[in-house]
Amino acid sequence: MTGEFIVDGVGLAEGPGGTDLTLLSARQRRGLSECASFMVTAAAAALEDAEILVIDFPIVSGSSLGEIQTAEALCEMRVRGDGRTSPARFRNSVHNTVTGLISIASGSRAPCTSVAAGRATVAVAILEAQLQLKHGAPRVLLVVGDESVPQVFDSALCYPPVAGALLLALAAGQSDQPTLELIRPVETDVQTGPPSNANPCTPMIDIVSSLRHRRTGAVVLPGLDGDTWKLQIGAPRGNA
Amino acid sequence: MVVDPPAPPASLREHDSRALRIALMAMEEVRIPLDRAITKNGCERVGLVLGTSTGGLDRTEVALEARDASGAMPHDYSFLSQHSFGGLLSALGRVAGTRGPAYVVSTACTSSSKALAAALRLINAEVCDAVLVGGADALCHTTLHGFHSLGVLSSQACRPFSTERNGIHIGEGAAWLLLEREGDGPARVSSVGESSDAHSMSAPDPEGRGARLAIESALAGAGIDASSVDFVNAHGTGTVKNDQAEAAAIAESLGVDVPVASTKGMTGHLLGAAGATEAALTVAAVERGVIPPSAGAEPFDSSLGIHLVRTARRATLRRALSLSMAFGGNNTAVLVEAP
Repeated sequence: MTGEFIVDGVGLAEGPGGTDLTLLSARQRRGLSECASFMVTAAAAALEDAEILVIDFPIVSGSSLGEIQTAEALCEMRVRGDGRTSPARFRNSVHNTVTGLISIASGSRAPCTSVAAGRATVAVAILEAQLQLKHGAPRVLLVVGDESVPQVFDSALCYPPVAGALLLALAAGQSDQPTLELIRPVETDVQTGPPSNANPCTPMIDIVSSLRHRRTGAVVLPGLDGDTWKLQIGAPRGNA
Repeated sequence: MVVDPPAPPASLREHDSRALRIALMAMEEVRIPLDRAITKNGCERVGLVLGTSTGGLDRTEVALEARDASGAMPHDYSFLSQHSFGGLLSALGRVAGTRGPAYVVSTACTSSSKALAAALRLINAEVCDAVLVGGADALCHTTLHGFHSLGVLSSQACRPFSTERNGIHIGEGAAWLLLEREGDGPARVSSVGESSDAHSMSAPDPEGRGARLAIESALAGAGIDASSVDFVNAHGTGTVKNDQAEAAAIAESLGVDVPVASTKGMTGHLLGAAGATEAALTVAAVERGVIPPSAGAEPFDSSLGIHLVRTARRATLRRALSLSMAFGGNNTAVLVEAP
């Protein structure tokens, strides 16, 4: 939709592999949610992959449901508890918790944005990151993730947490890094992403895996209401 | 508080929430120019960006209360359709009739001013020719209790920049703006400056350094200097920390003489809807040549060192800034210019 961009680093957090919260201060790590833990872990891996030590560029986060476990806990405190709310949990209940924590820990005053669009969350988060690059950002850290959903809300949504991160830059001249291009709308007969009761961020597993193994090709991304996006992964343009 | 927002049409009943009802009420106000933009550009070239902080949380709160009374969640409660941002967005997109990229921006109290920034990027990158952009948030127990837990909730209308301020007063509402590449609208959103404080999740940087960066970024984005800003619609929540940080940012970046007002004394703090609502009020100020009063500001806290407008007055406004600040240290400055 807005041209090609390159991937300088990738990170993934899934399964019981443990988390890496070294991006955050010891105080920030206390009481951190599943969502934030996975997204911070993925972000740290992408930064390490790109050998980036200082964050001085925008961060875009994407999450379909954000801090949904914290939202449920706050609701239950009011309904079933003594009516009081934990200020610490309230502070970290916002959709932009992860970007706020990372910017505070890193001392970065660059812009942070957090987006959502149901099953289309991965696609629109990539779009927003790409738009920020076109707008002049030298790099963008994109981190996308969703935690498991409290069963009281919907017992059919029984998925594990997943988060993925990409460190993106505009494609300019030769590079030894793979390229990405986001395309919409796409007419396709292939399965459009994971089933509707799967973690909305599941496509990040395919994207990160393909980039790590230097596989080219298309990853089909579900849209919001039955439409489809495609992320085209291309070979490097040449040796830098 | 919005009084009796009507239920959505039957086809959207599964998405019903107070936030949806309020957002649909406000969308009627832009129906005519929106339809014109869709006809002119095609629905695939018209995007939709919504800023919200709580989405359909109000519906979930009601459902959990019903569960405690009956032992089960209500049969007509749908988490994905009613609570989630995606469900709200899907319903709004169907009513709007847009088919371009659609997403929610959720960055607490800057949500809908960040949505304006995203919409501007969609147009500038030629992904869209027009974008319906707005904000909507309904009153929720969770946010009321949350702000109370932080000790910043006022029981009365908020009084930004007054020595008698005693905290924020939460309201609810929605606002929509239609941004077009080419059009004959009342004003132009020419730039949105964005920054982070890198200071605290819930308190602003006391020196206002992040907010100042957002202002400077907005000016740089439009290629103008500070002296050409005629009015600042401040975030102005009515907390001591906000007033001091924001006043410092304004005085440092724009000088002490630029007229400043906060409209929250009249609207309350609309949280995720505040940015779009205050941008719309800033457009009205520019269009009508009126600086709105900063209601409740008497007695003014003169130690802040800004030029606060306490009664409405006429003025030629060529350029005005609308400022927002949020949890996570998130800051925006929306630059509105006369056409």
